[in-house]
Amino acid sequence: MNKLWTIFKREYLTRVKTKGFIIGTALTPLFIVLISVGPGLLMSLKSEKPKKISVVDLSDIVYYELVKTMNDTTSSGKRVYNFSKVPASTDDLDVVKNDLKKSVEDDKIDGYFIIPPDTSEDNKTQYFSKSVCNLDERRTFRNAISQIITNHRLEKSNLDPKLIGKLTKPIDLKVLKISKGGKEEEDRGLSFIVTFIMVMFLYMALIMYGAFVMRSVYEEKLSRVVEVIISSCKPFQLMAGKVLGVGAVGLTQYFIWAAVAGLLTVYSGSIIQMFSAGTNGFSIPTIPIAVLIYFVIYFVLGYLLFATLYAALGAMVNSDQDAQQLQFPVIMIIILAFFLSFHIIRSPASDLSKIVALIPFFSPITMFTRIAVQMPPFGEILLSIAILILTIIVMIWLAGKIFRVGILMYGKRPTLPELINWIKY
Amino acid sequence: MSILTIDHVYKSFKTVHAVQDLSLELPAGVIFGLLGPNGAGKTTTIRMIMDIIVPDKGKISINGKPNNQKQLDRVGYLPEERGLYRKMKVGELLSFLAEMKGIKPSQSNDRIKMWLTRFELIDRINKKVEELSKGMQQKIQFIATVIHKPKLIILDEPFTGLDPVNTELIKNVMLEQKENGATIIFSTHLMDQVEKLCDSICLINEGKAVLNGELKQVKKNFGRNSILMQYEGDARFLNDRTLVKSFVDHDNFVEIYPAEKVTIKQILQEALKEVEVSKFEIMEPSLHEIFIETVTKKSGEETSE
Repeated sequence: MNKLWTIFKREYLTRVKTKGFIIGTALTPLFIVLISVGPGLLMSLKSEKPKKISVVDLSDIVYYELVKTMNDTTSSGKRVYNFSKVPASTDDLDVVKNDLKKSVEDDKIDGYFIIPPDTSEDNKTQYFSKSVCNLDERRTFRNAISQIITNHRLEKSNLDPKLIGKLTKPIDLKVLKISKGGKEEEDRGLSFIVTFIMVMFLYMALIMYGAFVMRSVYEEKLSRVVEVIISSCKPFQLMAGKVLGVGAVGLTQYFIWAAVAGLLTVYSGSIIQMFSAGTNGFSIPTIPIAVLIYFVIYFVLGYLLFATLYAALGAMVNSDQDAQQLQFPVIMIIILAFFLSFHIIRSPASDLSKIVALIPFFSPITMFTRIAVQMPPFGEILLSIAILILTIIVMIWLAGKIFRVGILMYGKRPTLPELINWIKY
Repeated sequence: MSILTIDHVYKSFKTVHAVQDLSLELPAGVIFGLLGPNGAGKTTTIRMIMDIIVPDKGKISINGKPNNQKQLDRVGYLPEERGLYRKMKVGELLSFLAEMKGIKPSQSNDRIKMWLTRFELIDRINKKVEELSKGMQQKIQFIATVIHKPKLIILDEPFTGLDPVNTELIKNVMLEQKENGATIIFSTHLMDQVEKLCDSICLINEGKAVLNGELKQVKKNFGRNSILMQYEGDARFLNDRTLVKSFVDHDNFVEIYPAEKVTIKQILQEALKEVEVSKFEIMEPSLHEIFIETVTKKSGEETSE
């Protein structure tokens, strides 16, 4: 037991004192937040550059309304969309079109609309531009023009404009999440992001810290330090000391992140307000305590399972290439679990979700996702934890056997029959 | 009581019989040489003593007790394959390795400084291991082997890669440890080191002990002395296989191995008949010779079977 403590201490202290740890602790949350909300944020950024758009309006309905409705301005107060009407008739349309095409090519205008005379009957308009990938802009154009056409049709049917306004008023859909105890909370999609970030953290932890354990084992093996160490302690103590030491490093890192996040939410509401100016009523969704507790439970159990697996793999390694090849299937399992969690976020109560939440190598991620999205029955959580613990015990036993033999075996990587021999040995 | 007892120990790996029926009894306070050609089973034997691998059959005891962790905490071990944590500082590393042997950092601190000073490495105490030369790393590893004042010290090839100065340093420490009452087992290929240091030896070949006992006794039992002769003239008798089994012609003298049942007196008489003898000396067999003779003879027998 004392030896285990000595190994644990070394493993922990030498890691926590490295520059890598400090930098990793500082940058990981930034990275995760960036890849979680970054793409959405970038997409929603308004294009700041004013655009020149020509309109060939053969129907004579759209142009003035378009200028009126699409009046977004840039931060300096200029109009984003500067429309200009191009006079044309059905006869010289082809000529006009060619001219416009040339203007687009020469970057004199950004794009042009062709609105046919019978657009209100056959619903067809065209937009030509060099850049057509902005989905947001496409949607805006489509909505604007169809709104104009719809209004035109309604007016033509002699309805009172006031009535039209009343009839076509869009409804306001407010989404509320019902959590335990029947509490209702407004949800603006942020709870999805929070769940996603937490799952992301679990996923990163399993891959990262597991790989640390593996590396620590095979570096010791390849540098031959291991013989001195296991002449002073049992191989099992060495393995356990490493798994727990690296795990404690992980917990330390998470504790630092949690503390910083906690401080931020408590003391700097104003900072958040500042960042979220414009999205009125923005509030950080609070994570229920139960979810946090399950996060810790599944982090610890998932880590133990994968770390012992990685430790056994590390003992089988004879070169850096070996390490990469052996790591691959394990990483695939974790990635698969991560992808399954997308399905679970969408339909947390489906049969597939229920099943994969119980499979031991998936459950640290999949069951936790279920818990975060929609609290499953307590019995199912208990069952998944029981299966997980049982698997961990078997895994520790297996890994202990492989570790003991593998750590002193040099030469080529063991084949499966050899591995079975190690376990029987 | 003997400090180490190896009692009819067997160990095989798949089809290779690494150690077969090995028995050893090691009295306390001696330097013991474990000799043998490559692949003879020396490292396997040492690893079994250290409980790194478990014998298939037989028992190993230290101080009359099974070689469990508690006993092994009083044993110092220098493996053949050296290795240290490259990223750790010298002082921290030694402190850690001492703690692995049950010595608290508060107790090991002074000893670490004492040893580093003695090995002229005290200025490197806060340097990382990887910044040290190979030879320095070897010395660090040797310190780690003796830092916890072990009663039994096992050194697997301690002199490989050391320059003559450091070899002398390690040799002196070994003798000093012996004087302080420690028992030392060391394996080596360097026979002259064994001659200078060892009280007892065991020669292992193909997993079996082929020679075992006090160095003097082993030499006596080997029985065949050689003759060193300086002479002038034509020594035709050297080619008489009934008299001389073999000889080695060094430039200014010749080393003669008499044939079996030929006495030294006969050789001398024969020599005096033919040449002018200026020097005639009876030599003890060197361990080198015993080693080669024993190992090749054994292998020869095996192949002729």
